[in-house]
Amino acid sequence: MSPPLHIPASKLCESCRATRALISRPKTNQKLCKTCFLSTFEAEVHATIVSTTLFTRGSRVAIGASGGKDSTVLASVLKTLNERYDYGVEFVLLSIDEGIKGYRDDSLETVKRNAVQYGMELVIVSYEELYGWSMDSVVESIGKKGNCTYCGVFRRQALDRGAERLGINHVVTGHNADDIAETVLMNLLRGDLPRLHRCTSIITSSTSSPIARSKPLKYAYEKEIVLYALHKKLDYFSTECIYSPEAFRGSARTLIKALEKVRPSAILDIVRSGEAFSRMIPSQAQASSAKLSQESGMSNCTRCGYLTSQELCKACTLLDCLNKNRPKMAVEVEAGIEDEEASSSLRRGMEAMKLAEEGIVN
Amino acid sequence: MAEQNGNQNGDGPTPPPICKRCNTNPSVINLRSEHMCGTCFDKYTRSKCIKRTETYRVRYNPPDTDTTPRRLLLPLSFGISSITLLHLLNAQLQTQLERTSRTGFVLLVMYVDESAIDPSVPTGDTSIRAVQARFPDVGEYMVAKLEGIYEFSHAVKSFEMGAAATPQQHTDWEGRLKELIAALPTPSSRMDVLQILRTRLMVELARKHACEAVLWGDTTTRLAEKTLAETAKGRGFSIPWQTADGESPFGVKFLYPLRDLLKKEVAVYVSLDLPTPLRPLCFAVPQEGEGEEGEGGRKKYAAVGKGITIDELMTQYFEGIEGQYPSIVANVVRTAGKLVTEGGVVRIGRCKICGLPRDGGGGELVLDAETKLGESSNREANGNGHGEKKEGSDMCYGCARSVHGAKTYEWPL
Ligand SMILES: [Zn+2]
Ligand SMILES: [Zn+2]
Ligand SMILES: [Zn+2]
Ligand SMILES: [Zn+2]
Repeated sequence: MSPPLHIPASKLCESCRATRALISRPKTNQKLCKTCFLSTFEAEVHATIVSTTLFTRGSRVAIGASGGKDSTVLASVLKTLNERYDYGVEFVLLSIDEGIKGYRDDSLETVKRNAVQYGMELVIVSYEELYGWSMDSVVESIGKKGNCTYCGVFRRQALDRGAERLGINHVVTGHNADDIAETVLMNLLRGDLPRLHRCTSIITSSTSSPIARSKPLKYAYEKEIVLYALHKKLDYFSTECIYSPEAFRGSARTLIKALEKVRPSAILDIVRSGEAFSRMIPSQAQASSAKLSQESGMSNCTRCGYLTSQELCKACTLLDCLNKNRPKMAVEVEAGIEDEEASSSLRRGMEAMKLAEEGIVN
Repeated sequence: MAEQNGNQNGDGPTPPPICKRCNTNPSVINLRSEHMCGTCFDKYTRSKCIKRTETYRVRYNPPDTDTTPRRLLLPLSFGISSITLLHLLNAQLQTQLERTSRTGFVLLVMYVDESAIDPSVPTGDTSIRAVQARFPDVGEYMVAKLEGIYEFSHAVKSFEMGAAATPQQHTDWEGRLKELIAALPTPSSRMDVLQILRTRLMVELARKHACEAVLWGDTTTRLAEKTLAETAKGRGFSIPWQTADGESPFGVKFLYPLRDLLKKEVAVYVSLDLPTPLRPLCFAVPQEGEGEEGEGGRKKYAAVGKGITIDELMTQYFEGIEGQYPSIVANVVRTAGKLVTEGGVVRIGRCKICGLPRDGGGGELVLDAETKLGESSNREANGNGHGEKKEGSDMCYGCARSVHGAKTYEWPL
């Protein structure tokens, strides 16, 4: 195919060679036109889904939707691929209302619009209804410090409960390659072998949760997600949570971004290394000590019925603290948190290390 | 070296605190929140090294059958770490001689002259003489040229990227090395490949000179840097082979006797009066400068061209971490130490570049996203007419990444 004469060959899309290149792919520096960029991005997510046989025909899968760029792009891409490749999957949007005024109420409006745009059912589960506490009231009670611990524990359980309510046992989340690379480095820095073992798995089914979680965007760069949202003109909400301001971007995140500048493939290369690590951890080191104690077996929380290795689940333990207003408990509960949410758990990790370093906690 | 006086409170004029071990001398270092004087810190440092080289104590007959001292290769870069290691091993040999009039090991101290790729680097002859004058009884001293790696091309396996051009058949090794380095696409690649060449040269020299082990000068900090750098290069699978004490896949043992010392501790150590400081022997470190360099000036030599490299980035990162959170540095190394290589050494073929047992192969996941994920058919369109699709098939993932986009080159081994 000979290129149109008015576009110099050097300016042509490296894929179709027919249109002017508009985008330099952050992952590869490949120069692509808009159409080719979008289709390449989609093809990569599709390749990830197919090579891991992530979905089964006829199943219902919940998309953990926050209204932010990652989950919005995830929902949009999954809708596109489901139609294009006939996955035969019914996707449902599942949102958590943490009860944060000026943040979640606005982003939920975005999710509601997305539900209409993508023709997906939407279910919203609120902390308020589940726990009797909104994050606003948690922060009012304990202050901003450590509130992410509560939020992380509550969210994990809320997603499970929302999925249960929908009769769904698979939740997909918008974690991207940057998140996973960051988690790999953080787990190396913390020396957390159990988490290092599982943080790169595309799908995690944990004994502490009846619901499987998966990350179809695990090879997608954050920068490309932003570009995808931009060029697809997706409707998303871009404000950071007001209780976890930009400052939480820990040093590992900064390092990832610097590495990406030096060698764009570095993020994928770290994910690749992380996948190797997960196969290099001796089986006895794969489970956390919290999980080992579960040899006595997981049971149901005596109060709420959620799966737990203790008598009370983590959420109920935290609720006890809140209700008695003894926030100090949070630190002890922290150690066993199974939450994989990159940002909040990593930040807690750094906080914990800092505390340990300063001799405040052991 | 802000912590040299161990005075973390920044109250300059007050006298330094007293050593917590002997309760006599003034502290020279605040060692993981314990103040130590020079003498006690020296003892501490020596014990850390002795603990890691216990295998090379003096052997007796019986129970040992062979009592000849083991030959060990010590790569000397004139950085603070390798000079410190040499000093500590010298002290160990002195002790062995005093106690038993025999020694358990003998050293081959080896400096690699890299002036072929960086003419500003000294050839090492005068430096090595100065070091030999200080430690005359440890064994032999040698200078090897980096291009000497071509001596070890077993059989002729010239290796070409792309069939289009045949590399000029240099007879001179120096020219071939220069060509190889120049063919690499980025400063990160060059630094990475240089590090591989150094390692492989040391292995070959150890074999040639009948040394059973290579004693690397890496500190805890350096091992942590290496762990994260190799992770970032996609070489996570090989980290145990690059950081663990014991048998390496090359058939020569690797030992890291300074693995329990932080780089900043070694930086203080080289300035101690022992009775003479080691610092003047660290020729690769700018004297009286900010000498933070661990394995001797490496990054200076290797940063041909502009732009920071992955290895340099990690060095900077851990400089920060080491200051604030030294236990994290140790954490990383401990974690790396718990990883076990999959299937051991014999699982698949060896990587052509680094010589380590290969992982799944360069192209398996994403050599570059074109290869597996997403679009796969724009090779021809890229202008490089010669079929590149085999690229990386005989390399590990990390090496395939490093040489991806390189011009035609010839690999020495
Ligand atoms: Zn195009
Ligand atoms: Zn409960
Ligand atoms: Zn003392
Ligand atoms: Zn290799």
